[in-house]
Amino acid sequence: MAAGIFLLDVVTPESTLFSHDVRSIVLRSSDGELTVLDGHTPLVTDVTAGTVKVATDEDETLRLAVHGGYIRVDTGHGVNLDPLERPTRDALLKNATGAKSPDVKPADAKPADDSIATRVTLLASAAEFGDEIDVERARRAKEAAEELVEALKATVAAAGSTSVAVGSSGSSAGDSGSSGADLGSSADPGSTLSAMTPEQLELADAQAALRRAEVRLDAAGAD
Amino acid sequence: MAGGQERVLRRRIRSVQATRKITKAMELIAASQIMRSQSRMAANRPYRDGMVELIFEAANGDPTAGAKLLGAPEDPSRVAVVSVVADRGLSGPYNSSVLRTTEKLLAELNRRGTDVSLFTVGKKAPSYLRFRGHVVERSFTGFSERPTFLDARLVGAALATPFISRLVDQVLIVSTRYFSAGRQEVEVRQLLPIPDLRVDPADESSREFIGEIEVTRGASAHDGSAHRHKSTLGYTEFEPDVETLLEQLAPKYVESEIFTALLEGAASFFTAQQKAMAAATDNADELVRTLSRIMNRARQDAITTEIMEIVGGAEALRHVKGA
Repeated sequence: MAAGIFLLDVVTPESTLFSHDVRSIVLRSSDGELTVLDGHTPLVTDVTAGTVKVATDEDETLRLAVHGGYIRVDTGHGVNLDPLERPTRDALLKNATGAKSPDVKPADAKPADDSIATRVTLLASAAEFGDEIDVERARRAKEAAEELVEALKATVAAAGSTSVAVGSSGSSAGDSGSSGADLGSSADPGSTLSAMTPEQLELADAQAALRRAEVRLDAAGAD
Repeated sequence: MAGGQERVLRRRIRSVQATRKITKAMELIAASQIMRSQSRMAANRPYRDGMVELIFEAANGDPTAGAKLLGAPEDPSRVAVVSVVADRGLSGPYNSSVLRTTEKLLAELNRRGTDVSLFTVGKKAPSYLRFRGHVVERSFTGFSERPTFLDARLVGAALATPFISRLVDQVLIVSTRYFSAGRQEVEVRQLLPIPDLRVDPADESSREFIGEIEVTRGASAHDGSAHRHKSTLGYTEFEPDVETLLEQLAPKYVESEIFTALLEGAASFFTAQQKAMAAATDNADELVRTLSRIMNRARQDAITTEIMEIVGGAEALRHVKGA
């Protein structure tokens, strides 16, 4: 593989979004902004919800809306550099008629040459290409979510005023809601979930929806 | 009354043919759904493998970290069990084999005095288990045939939350693994603590027996060797540190595993349904053949009898005339 170029896989639970040679990746983790280039030291870190910028080997810049996830940088000798197969429609049809399961073949790495190479895997709960985002829809979703958040905040505040204890936990739950809003790195559900009233849960959901809409708009390059 | 019998048979044949039409249609639908489920399984594979690799990497990075989250629980006294079946029946042994295994597991856990909280996916599970006196803590329905990742997150949160807040020591899943179109098997797997993937799946310590039920721990043998790959430079940075990372990853791992289990369950369900419906269609064909034969014979009997009666009558008249 040419110098300065490495393999990036972007996978979500429902599909493989991208598996291609790239030059650089810019993303945001809980530790701050991070740029990954060829030969980056092996690393495992989280990815906060936001836009991930990818420069491909053809010097094209892709913007990905990533709703939270994790990234793994693997650099070393003999890293498997076979791109992931993105199942095509033809392959699926062939599989169906042959009635053979497509997953049985083991992904045995072919022995790569001994030079040092880099492979980056981005595991996202949900991700999409910026240019595939329907801006109008995202904008509408954002507006709807904003309205809902406002309405729910009022309800929660009203419920909170009747009891001081609930009111204080309401504001803290609201905070955790917005930080847990990104699909991928939602806050520890164990500590917050049980302490939240249905209204607060609804508010957290609405805030999550708002955050998602914002991430999508940002990745689409709108605003 | 030979004519009456013929009519009865004709009606039965028609009814069997109508049933056959339904089973045939269900067979074809199931066949097309198998294809869809399989492709969804294939699409999920990289994520699942990536998640396993990530955890493997983290566990390797700091062997002392995550003692509570990794490996085998010592003498679990509180266990959460989730049983994954379908919303619908007419799928041969698919639901019942999972439920029977679940029941055996529950019986053995109860015998040991373990505190069990039971969760179910699929409409068919709660009625079966409640009838047998088990308390179902929470049941999830409505997505067994086309699970989305959001559904998996819902189930995952319900299972991971009590574990993280230390209310249960172990989380087990009973579901059907889809090995190939011809082979699906019920399997009991440990979801939490996260199985220690450094242990070879062939190793004895990756298995546990609860009564006669085998609990699989770690990647099962057919998962391929993709995630055996360790970072080759031998050192890896973790941000945040491994302990925190594993704590964050545990619920993600559960979600991912549950999603895979749901997808494999859906594929297994349709495969079982297709087989069951193909068998039902064959049986209907056979039944129509047999009934047609009986009906034809009955009709022929009736005709013969009628002719005999006419001939007999004519003969009798002739005798009267001739006399």
